[in-house]
Amino acid sequence: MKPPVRLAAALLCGAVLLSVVSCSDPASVGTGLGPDSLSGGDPEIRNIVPSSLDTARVAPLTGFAGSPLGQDRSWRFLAGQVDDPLAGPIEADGYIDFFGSENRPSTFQDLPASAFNVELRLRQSYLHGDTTSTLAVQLYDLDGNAEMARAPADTTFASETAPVRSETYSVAPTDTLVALSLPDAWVEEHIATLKDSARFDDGSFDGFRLTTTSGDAVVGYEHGTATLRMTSESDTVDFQVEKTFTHVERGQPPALAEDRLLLQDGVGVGLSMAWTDGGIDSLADANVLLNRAQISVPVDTSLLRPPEGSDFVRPLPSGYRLLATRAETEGTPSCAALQLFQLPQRPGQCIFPTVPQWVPVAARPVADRTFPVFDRWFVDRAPLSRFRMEITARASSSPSGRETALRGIPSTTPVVIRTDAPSKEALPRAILTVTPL
Amino acid sequence: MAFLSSRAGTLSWFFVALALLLGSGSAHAQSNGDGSVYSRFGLGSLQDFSSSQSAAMGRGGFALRSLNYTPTANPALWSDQVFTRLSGGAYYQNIQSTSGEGQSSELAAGTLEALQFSFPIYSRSLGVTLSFQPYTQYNYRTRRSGSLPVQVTPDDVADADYDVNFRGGGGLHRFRGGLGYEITDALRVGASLDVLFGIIENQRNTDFGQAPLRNIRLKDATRLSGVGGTLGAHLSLADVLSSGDNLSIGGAVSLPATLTGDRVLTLTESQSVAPDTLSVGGQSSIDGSVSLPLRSRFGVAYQPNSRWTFTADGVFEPWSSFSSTFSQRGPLSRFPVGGEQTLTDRWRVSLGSEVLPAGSDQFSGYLANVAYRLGAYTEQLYVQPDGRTDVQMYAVTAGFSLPTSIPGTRIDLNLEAGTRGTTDGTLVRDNFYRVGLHVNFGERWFQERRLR
Repeated sequence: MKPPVRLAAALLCGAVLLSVVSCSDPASVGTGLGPDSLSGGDPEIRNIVPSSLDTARVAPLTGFAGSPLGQDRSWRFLAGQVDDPLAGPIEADGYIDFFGSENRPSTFQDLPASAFNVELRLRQSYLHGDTTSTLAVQLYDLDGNAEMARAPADTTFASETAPVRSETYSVAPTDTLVALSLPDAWVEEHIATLKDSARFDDGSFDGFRLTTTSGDAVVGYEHGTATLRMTSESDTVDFQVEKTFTHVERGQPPALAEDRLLLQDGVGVGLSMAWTDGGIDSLADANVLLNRAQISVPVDTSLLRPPEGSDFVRPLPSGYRLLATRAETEGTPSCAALQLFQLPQRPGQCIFPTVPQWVPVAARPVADRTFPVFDRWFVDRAPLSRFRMEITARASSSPSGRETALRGIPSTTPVVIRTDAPSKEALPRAILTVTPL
Repeated sequence: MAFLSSRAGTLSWFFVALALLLGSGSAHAQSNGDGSVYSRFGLGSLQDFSSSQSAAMGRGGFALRSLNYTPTANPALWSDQVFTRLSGGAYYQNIQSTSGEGQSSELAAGTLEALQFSFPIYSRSLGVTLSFQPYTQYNYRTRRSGSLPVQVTPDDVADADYDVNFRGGGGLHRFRGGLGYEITDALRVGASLDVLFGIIENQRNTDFGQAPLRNIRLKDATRLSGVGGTLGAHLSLADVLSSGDNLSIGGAVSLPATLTGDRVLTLTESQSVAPDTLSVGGQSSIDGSVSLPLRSRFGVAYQPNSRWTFTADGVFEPWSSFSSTFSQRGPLSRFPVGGEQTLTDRWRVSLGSEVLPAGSDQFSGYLANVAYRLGAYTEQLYVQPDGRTDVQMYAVTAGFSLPTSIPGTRIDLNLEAGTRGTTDGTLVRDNFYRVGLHVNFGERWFQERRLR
């Protein structure tokens, strides 16, 4: 039978009529119509300042044991003392220990101690202080094996009471290479170990402590290139670094204005923040929906730069780290569930990856990692109770997100945070973009 | 057998196409394109489809008898059935909407107009009709744009552009089933049971496009359902003004009905995530009801001969008596939007005419057997968005009814153009046109064939 083409075509056309709906070009016509005009839906930015802002000290891990090659080259240890007009007196003692060596020239065995020159060779990579000053450095033998790896900066390791040399070494802070020659008596005392031992961990040599008796600078030395060089007339052996550590202490800092807080790397003075006054809770209860969440901790960089023409060098911050403590309530999600890193040494501590482009003017975590935290806060309750911003010096200017969560390399960099200002934008705050219902 | 084969082939084509049409219809049942912003008020734009013949004659014809159509508006007309009839139709609508500030938008929608199934129990005496069609359409759409400064780096403040899209979706549907009975040659009556149901949705989406901010999709949905009834009567008088003419008077009243339901507020973060139901006032949903007023229709049809038909019709619905028990809670907007004071009485007056050049001569040429229709109507909408200004609609209609090789089956092409509203104050003017296509399929089913 010939199909009823006209009928079928009509039905198909009818179906097409239902489908042709893609021609709309809506504008704002009619939004103001009626008493319940179409309104709302416009996002707003709310800056919520923490209810508590204070400093809190958590000594950073300044010890390191690792290969002198590869990525560990950026690690450093510090030694010196500086009286920073902004941050006050800071002292740093450096600790260093070396691997032994199985490869020594055969000629070494027959030579007396007096035939050798042994020197500690260090390459400068950091300077904080007066570039014109001179550091009076003293070296001490460590008394026993020091567990430097991942040791916090407030750790001290036992050393001999007398320096290896009664006279101090004079070191210019700007010297890129420092060679501290060890006295003959020290060489004589350690010649057996230096000539024979494949390893130095037999108690005969446990490394040095570098400290300063005068000067106005803290200098950083590369971990990876530090060597203990033993030379004879014909041959040279470099003992490679095994581990380094920096002990940092500070004196009484000068008084800052009441609306400012001083943070200090090295000694681990960071910023502690909490939003416990219900500011965020009340916003969450106010029928608003969260579009974006950000935390910003602006830094008052105007105080960090020394006066022009000054010989004083104060390194600018090269990185920040933002941590938070998980709330101690049942059902609080893990750091991983909040898309944050977890700090192995401090259970219950989550770390936000930060945006390196904001350094040094502010510490800002990556926005999409901040959002789940505040989103949960809005929907349920705060998953994190206390936040901490700390200075973490970085060797790289463009670290990855994961790298921004790692500990920094040792530094004594200070930072000033404002706690009161006419504009909230100068203050630590949560920046919440919300849409009212 | 040839007859059965022919019928089977016809039916298979019909049902395949109908399934496609229904598929499109169901896909758009909740969001069938975009329509007038006036649909945001009340329960949405009232749909008044009775038959494709009526749609082309000013949307009236409440007293118009026809063997080719089963007008759903008046159950009394359902007694006039000879064929088992299946009909369906859809239309495409384009609206140019203009505000007083000179802004304009273009909105388009494709909508299923009706599906009807009817059959005679006793030819021309007792007939049954079942129909499914939109009762209201809630499909407004408008948009507002803005930008938000977002500092992405210390030296770079970027504007995050966003759109706030306001959109209505869904509407009420009506399933109607009933009987029409011819008491005498002149008098017919009918009654139907009307089941009303549907979801009316208001969406407000804050979309940031590519900017790294979460989009907010907020939707409040009101689910309603209820049962009503319609009574109709029809009086047919022959030889009134001249020999062979016919004058019909008909009317129908849909009784007041109460629809009950609930409202929920949902939040959707992204298209791939199921929406969250938001608590409003401590409750996940709000129960309530609305009372619909009666709908009264009255019409006159005059057929001086078999070629010409003229109709005049009126509609009145006292929507000022509408009431709603849905109370406003928290962020939910009122229901209906603007409150009951934005509703007013609705009326419509229409005129229509039809000419069938062939008259009763079925052996005339094809074009002579095409029915040509023309109509016009004016209507006062039942919504008064600003609470004081009546919104008027004026439209002209036209249509062609094309015969097919299947007796009792016609394909109707309808056109409609009109204007609605004004640009005074916050009101808007809609200039619209519609193109509708309907298929009215009729055959003798379930009836014993007799040799005469």
